Amino acid sequence: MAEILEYKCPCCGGAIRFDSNTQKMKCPYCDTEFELDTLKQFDEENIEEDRDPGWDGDSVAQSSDELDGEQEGLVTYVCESCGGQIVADRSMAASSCPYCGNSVIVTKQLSGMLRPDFVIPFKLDKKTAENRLKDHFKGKVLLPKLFKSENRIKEIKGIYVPFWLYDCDAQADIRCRATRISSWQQGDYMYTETQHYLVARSGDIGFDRVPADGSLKLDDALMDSLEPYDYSEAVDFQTAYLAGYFADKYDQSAQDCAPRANRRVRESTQNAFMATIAGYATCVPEHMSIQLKQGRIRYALLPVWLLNTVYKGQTYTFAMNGQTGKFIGNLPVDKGRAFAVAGGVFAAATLLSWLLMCFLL
Amino acid sequence: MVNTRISDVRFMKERSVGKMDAVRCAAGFFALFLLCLYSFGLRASANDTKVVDEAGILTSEEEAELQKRLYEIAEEYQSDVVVATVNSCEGMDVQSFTDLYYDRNGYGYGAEIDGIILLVSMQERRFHLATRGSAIDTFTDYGLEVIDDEITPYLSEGEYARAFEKFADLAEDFLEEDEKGLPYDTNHSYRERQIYSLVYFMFALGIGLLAAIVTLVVLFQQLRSVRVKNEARDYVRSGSFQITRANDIFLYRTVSRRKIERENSSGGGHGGGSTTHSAPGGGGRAGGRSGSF
Repeated sequence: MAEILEYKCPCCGGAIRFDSNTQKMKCPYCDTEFELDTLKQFDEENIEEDRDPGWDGDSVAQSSDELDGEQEGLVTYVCESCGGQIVADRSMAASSCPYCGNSVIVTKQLSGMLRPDFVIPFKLDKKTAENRLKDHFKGKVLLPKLFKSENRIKEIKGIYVPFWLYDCDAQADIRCRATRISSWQQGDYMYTETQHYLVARSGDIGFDRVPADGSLKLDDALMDSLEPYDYSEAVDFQTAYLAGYFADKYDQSAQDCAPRANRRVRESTQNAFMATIAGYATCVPEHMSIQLKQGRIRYALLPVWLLNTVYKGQTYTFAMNGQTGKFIGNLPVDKGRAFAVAGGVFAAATLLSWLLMCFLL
Repeated sequence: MVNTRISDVRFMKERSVGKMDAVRCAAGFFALFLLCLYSFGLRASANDTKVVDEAGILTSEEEAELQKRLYEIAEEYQSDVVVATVNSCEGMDVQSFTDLYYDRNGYGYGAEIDGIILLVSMQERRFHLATRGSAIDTFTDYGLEVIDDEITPYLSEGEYARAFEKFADLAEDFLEEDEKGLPYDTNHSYRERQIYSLVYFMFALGIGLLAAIVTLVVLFQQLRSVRVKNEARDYVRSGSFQITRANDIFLYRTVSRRKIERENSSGGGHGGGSTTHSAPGGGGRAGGRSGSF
C-alpha cells in the first residue's frame, strides 16, 4: 500500500520543504520557518493520520496499477496536491510531482524495517553544486576547451542515497619472513651478511561505520569517491528532512553490500599491522589470517548532489557530497592537446638533459 | 676694440686646432697600441690560403667553402689546418715532399709553426698528413690513424670534397679535445667517445620519454576523480588498535663475500703519443702518416 506524505504549511497550506541553509523547514510561498522538533511531532501525527482509512483514496488505482506495473518494477502514486499520477520505480522514497512540482514522500518506504537509523541533512544547496562544477573544470590542462564552454547542465538533483554502515572488529594474525642486510669491507673482499628473522604480529583493530551504498542505480566507485562524511553531524531520521529532495530506499541488502565493506576492512587491517614491522630490508608475508567479527549494521541516508551534463551527445555524471562539498566526476581528455603537451615536454627534456650531459661530462 | 676682438677670435681658433691635433695623435697611438695588443695576443699564419688545389679536383665553390671553414678553425685554435692537392711529388717521397711544402709556403702559427697539412698527390695516389709544433701532440699516431681510416674510403671513391670536409670536421674535433686538456690518444679513444656520445644521447632520450610520461600521467590523473575505495583507514575506531603479540625471532645468518676489483687508475695512464722525424731542410721535428688511396 502506498502512502504519500506531503508537508503542508500550517500558515498557508502550501507544500513546505527542507532548507539546507537554515537547517529548518521553510514554506516557499509565505517564507515561514519551522523547527524540525515541531515537525517530529507533526510527523508522528501524520503517520497516525495515515492509518485513517479516509486517506486511502488511491487504493483502487494502486491495486490495478500494481498488476501491470509489477513486471517493470513500477508503482503509481497519486499526488496529494493536484491528484496527478506519479509513476515511480519500487525503490523511490522521495520525489517531486511531475505536474505540480510539490515534494512527495512515500512513508511506507521509510517506516518499519525500512526506516533509516539516521540521516545527515543537506548542508549545501543547488547553487553551491553548480558553482563547484565550474570550479571542477579549473586548472585541468587536458580538458577540452569546448567542454567548458559548450557543456550544459542537463539535470541536477539532490538525492538522499541509502547507505549501509558496518561496524566491524578484526583480529589479525600475521607471520612474515624478514631479512636484515649489512655489509663491510675487509682486505680485498666485500662481505655481505643476511640475517633471517621470523616476525609475528597478532592483535585487534576496530572499525566504525564503514559505508557502502545500497543503491543499484548509483555507481559504487562514484559513491566511494564522495567519502568521507562527517558522522558527528548525523541526526535521528525524520521524514521531514526529505521534503524537497529525492530519495530511494535500498535495493541492495546489507548482506549484498557486506563484501565490499569487508574487503576494505581487511585491507586496512593488513596495512595497519604490516606498518608495525620496521627495520627490515625485506619482509614477505608467509601466513596471514584476518578474522572479521561483524558488529552493528546501520542504515543511513546520506546527502548527494548529482549533476548530469551533456557534451557531444555523451552524458557525464558528477557528484557532490551534500555535506562536505567534495566534488567528483571524470572528465574527457583533449587527445590533440595531450599529444602536443607530451611532444613538447619530450623534446624539451631530451634537449635539456642532452645539453647538460654534453657540458658536464 | 674691434681689432683686438678679431685677434682674440683668431687666437682661440688656433688653440682649438692645436687641441684637435693632440686628440688625433692620441687616437693614432691608441690604434697602434691596440694593433700591438692584437698581434701579441693572436699569432697569425704567414699564409692564409688554406686550400691549394693544384691538381684541380675541387670545384671553385667547394674550394671556397673549404677555405672559409679551414680558415675559421685555424684562427680559432691558433693552429694551421691546410689541404693541398698536387699532380705529383716530383720524384720525392710523399712525406718529405709534404714537410717541404709546408715550410716553403710558410704555413704554421707561432715560432713552432703549429699546424697540420693534408697533402694529396694524384699521380702516386698517395696522401700524407704532416703535423708540426703543437699539432704533433694534438694529432697523435693514434689520432692520425683515425683520420686515415675516416678519409681513405672517400679518397678511394674519388669523393675528394667529402674527404676534405671530413678532415676539417675531425681536425676541429681533435683541436677542441686537445684544448679541453686531453687529446685523443690510445688512452682517450675517439671511437669510445663516439660510443659515449651515443649512450648520452640515448640516455637523454630516455629522460625525455620519462618526463613526457610523468607529465601525461599527472595531467590524466587531474581528470579522473572517481575511484573505488579499497581501504577503510578513515573509519578506524580510535584507540581500538592493539597488538597482543609481537615476536621478532632471529633464525639464522648467511654471509657471502665478493672480491673487490681494483681498477688501475686511468688518469695516470699514458697514451701512445706521437713519433716524430726531423723535417727536411732543417724545419725542426715533424709528425705524420702516409697512406694510399
